[in-house]
Amino acid sequence: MTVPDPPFPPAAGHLSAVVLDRFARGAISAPAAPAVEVHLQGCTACRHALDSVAVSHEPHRMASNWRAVVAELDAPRRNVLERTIVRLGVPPDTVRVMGATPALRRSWFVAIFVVLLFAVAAASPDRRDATLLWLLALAPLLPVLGVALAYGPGVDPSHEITIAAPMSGFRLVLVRATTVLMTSLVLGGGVSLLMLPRHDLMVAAWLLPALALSLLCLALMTVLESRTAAAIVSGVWLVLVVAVGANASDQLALFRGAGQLTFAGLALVGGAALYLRRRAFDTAAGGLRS
Amino acid sequence: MSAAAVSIQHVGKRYRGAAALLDVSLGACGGVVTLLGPNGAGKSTLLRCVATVLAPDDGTVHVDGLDPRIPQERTAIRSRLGYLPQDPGFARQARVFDVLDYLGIVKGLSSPRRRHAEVARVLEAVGLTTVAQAKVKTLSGGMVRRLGIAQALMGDPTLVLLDEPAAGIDPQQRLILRERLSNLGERATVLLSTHLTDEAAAFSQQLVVLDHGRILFVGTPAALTATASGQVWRTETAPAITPVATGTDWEHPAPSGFPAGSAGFDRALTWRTAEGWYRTIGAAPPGAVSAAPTLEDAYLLLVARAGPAPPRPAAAAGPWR
Repeated sequence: MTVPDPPFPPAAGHLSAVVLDRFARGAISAPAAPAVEVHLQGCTACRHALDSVAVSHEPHRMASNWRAVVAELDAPRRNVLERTIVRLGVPPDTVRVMGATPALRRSWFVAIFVVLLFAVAAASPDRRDATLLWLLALAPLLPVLGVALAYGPGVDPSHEITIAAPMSGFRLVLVRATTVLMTSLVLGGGVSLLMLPRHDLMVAAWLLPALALSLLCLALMTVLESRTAAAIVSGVWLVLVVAVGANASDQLALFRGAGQLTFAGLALVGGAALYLRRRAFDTAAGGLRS
Repeated sequence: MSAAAVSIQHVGKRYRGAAALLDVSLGACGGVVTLLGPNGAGKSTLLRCVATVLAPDDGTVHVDGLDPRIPQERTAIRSRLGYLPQDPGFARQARVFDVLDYLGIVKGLSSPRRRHAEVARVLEAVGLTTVAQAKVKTLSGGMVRRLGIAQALMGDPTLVLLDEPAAGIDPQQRLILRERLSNLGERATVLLSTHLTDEAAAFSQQLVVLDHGRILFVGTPAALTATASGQVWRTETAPAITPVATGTDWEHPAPSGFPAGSAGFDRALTWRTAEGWYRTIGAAPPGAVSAAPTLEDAYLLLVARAGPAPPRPAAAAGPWR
């Protein structure tokens, strides 16, 4: 709250100590400033008084300026990856938020590496269906792992502080999850597509399941701790893949037309549930105790 | 910005059926308010409810008239809040400046230049300027605590909630912290928890004693100290008391010849002072003379009189979880 300036001009005909102090600090209100300047031009006593006030403020001003200089020297420098993402148009603050969780950063790089391995292996010309089945089964779980490590009391050391901050928890989790998801999907998908001329579309059949499982995991994270949510989604997924592979004549049936449509539907369901439950990210998860 | 007005009305909170807070009502506007109580008294839970981290099961919390159950108002409360949790964590590999810069972003300080200057200001306030470029993993426990306080001071909050701010901090830094928080109390509402009675007495305008989730006392440190008048005693020799196994190592029955429950306190606590005489709080031992009570005496008497936790009421659904 701004305290109004004292009445001006004062009865004694000179500027009060309060007005001089504010003028010296540059804190005088805009309407009063011209009148103070006019008075100072014609009043030697007030100019002398202002000089002494200004001298007393000098150390504070210098300290403040020096602090600003040191702050800019100490300010974080962006690494190559962050600079590249900023050049792509992502706001710098969002880039800082993306990689602020150490567990997320580690999982992010692991996910990129493993997804790339899977993508290359899936595109290998001497692949057999059984090998491809395992690759398609495991690849979608990597973004799920990354998403689970994106947000929560167990993985973000500053989780409780960030909950009490004005930035929406939903925005935080979306920024981080999107980072993991997009990195995995874009890089892995890109490699698969590069190999496409020599193979069929099956090399990219893990993309939609990865999206669906990640969104379902995020939706579950609104009611469960993130690692529990990831474990449930991963468990159900593996059981489903093994069951379909064991019983159907075509081991890859889950990843063909009808299966892909189902994953698209599940992705929509997961996305809708996540949106409806978004406020849950604004309060503490069940893990916080007195 | 002026100090935030906090209003807590009949707040209750349970964890898996166990009551952490029971019908807690409290108001504060400006100054330093200290929550005092033993471990598990509900101090951290109350701070979390005010910090909008936890939703109370019963009752209401308002900050400047804003209701955290309404999402927009919850965000408005958070924008005027500085909060140090009991166990704040920071990325161990990150540099001190970077940690605060990141938390500044989350707190809504969008201008990089202003945010960097603010980081430098709060680092100076807690005496960590020289380690701005150090990694968190190289800091001592007390330094990490001060880093936690620094982040709570960012953005010039009008409501500052500090859970055990002095824990692990050396005496010299504790005095500096006391000065900083006292100054902060001139323009903000500072609500902090501690179980250090000397800290509570030193600079709190208001004390709130909590035990088993209930408020036992609200008032000034002097008023709490006064409640122990006539119940603190001095003897030159050890009073004749027999320790009993009661689950704690400091409880004794009242000395023989003194009715249990006299002055509402049926146990006496006696210790030998550094000067060699014996100090007893509670019922007077034979030959004792009255001694001036301290805040700690009054606090111990208050908590001892309160007795065990009351039966808990039936559970209710959380209003905004």
